[in-house]
Amino acid sequence: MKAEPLGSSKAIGLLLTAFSFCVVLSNPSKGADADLFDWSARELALIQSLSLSQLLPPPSSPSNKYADDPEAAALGRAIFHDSRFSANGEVSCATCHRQDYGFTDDLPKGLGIGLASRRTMPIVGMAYQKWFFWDGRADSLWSQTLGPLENPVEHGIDRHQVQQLVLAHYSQPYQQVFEDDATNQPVDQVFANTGKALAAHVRTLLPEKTRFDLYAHALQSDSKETGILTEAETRGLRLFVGKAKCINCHNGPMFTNGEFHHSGTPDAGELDPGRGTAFLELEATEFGFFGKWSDADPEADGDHIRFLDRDTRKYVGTFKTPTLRGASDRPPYMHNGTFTSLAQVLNNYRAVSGSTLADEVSHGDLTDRDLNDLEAFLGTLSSNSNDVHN
Amino acid sequence: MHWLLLVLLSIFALPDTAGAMDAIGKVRRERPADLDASTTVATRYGTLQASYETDFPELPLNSVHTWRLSLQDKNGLPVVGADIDLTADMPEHLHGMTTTPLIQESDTPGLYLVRGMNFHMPGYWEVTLDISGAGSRHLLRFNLIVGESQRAPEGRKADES
Repeated sequence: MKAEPLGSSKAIGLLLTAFSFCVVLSNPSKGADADLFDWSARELALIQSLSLSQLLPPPSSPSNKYADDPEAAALGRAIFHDSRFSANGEVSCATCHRQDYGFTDDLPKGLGIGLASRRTMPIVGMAYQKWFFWDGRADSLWSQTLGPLENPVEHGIDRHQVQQLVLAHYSQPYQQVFEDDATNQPVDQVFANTGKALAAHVRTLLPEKTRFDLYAHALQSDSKETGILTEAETRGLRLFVGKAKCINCHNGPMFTNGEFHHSGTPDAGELDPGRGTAFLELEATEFGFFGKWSDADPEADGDHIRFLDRDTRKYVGTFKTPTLRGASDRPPYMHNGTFTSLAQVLNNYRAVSGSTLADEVSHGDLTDRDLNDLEAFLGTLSSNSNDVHN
Repeated sequence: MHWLLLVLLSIFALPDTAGAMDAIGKVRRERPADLDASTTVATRYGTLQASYETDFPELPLNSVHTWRLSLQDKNGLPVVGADIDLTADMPEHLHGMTTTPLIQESDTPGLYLVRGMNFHMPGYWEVTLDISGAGSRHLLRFNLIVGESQRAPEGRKADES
């Protein structure tokens, strides 16, 4: 009884596949250009969904009432660049989150006081994220910024030192923003507020318009100036929203769903549980969204945390989808920095597609040219791409 | 067309959870060409009808939101006290949502609030309701297409940036 409908739908599927093959095979004679720019309604909708024009202003940050305070952001920016906030006086946030390198660094793993266990994450567009770090173990941006300060291999200081440094160097701006003297406040409060100022700064790091965005805009306008992308880049875009299924995880104007997936990245024997251990840390921290120092209304806010599926078994070995904006400018790639080029990343996705390494990853049967085209398209997501192609 | 068969299949083959990796034993299915994405569905003989609404003109992508789920019996009367088990899955990807929604009966008879819905990938989703306490056990399924319409975000023109 169960086999029959499955069989018939499979047969219909095969017929459809055969039919689309015929369509594909009959097309080359019509001339590549005409077909290349002939987008379906679904493709057009998906292309627009990726465009910066669809990016709303950053959502509010209920757990940080200073999130959109310019004075808090100015204080946060100063501390972000201040290497006094480290054990050896040489490491600031900007050491690894380099502005000249897409706010990340060029190393497989971050290098602060010591060697970090994962690649430095790019931090542009963090205002749009729900979870922070590769494993999402922080549920708010301000809470995330506190992690590296106390991590022995990153800044290597503790909250008491943070309070002393704030008192010594930022006493006045701190008082201005938080309306109290840091000497009067418990050390944890000063530490949390420092994180809130850092978060206010990081929220101002927003993506720049790229050649892809210009193309998406041109498709919508009367100009239809489709020459903004090369043929290879256009084919790559079609693969991205179609056969290669990249858009499943890299969706929305930030090219990420901010969720956690198995990517089938080789780990060279270094087992990293990723999201699998994050739930414990989410519950343990006193600096969380529902914690003592949060400004959120625990009744009204935080549904993404309240209803989070915490089934560790499902998420072991998953990592957060990173944004692809600017990615071509900032190798290496993946949570462990194992790939030095986008070509290697794309090759690996093809290699693990459909395997048990990455049950979620299914990218269709990609040819070598497909991979080249996808790489070409990813280059259009970099703001430097405006200069490259003129 | 295969709706009843789908329901029968569902009894045996439905996943018990929805999440990032719960693929064992499932069969990947492509999106049907003629997908009925109605927001109101009923059992074959109309013994139970379910419909949903959200605060959005289209189902939102990557946004935790609430469904207002209404249940009616074959006489159009609200079904109260139903025990509802909801799962959301992507048949093409063998997994579901990264949230586990909470279903609460509202003060309005027959109206249930489903808090914590979140579709984190665009495309074809199935939301299945396993409902008992309404006389007998019922299975109902909504088909959804998420994130593929050309509508601009609310309150903003598409050409703004």
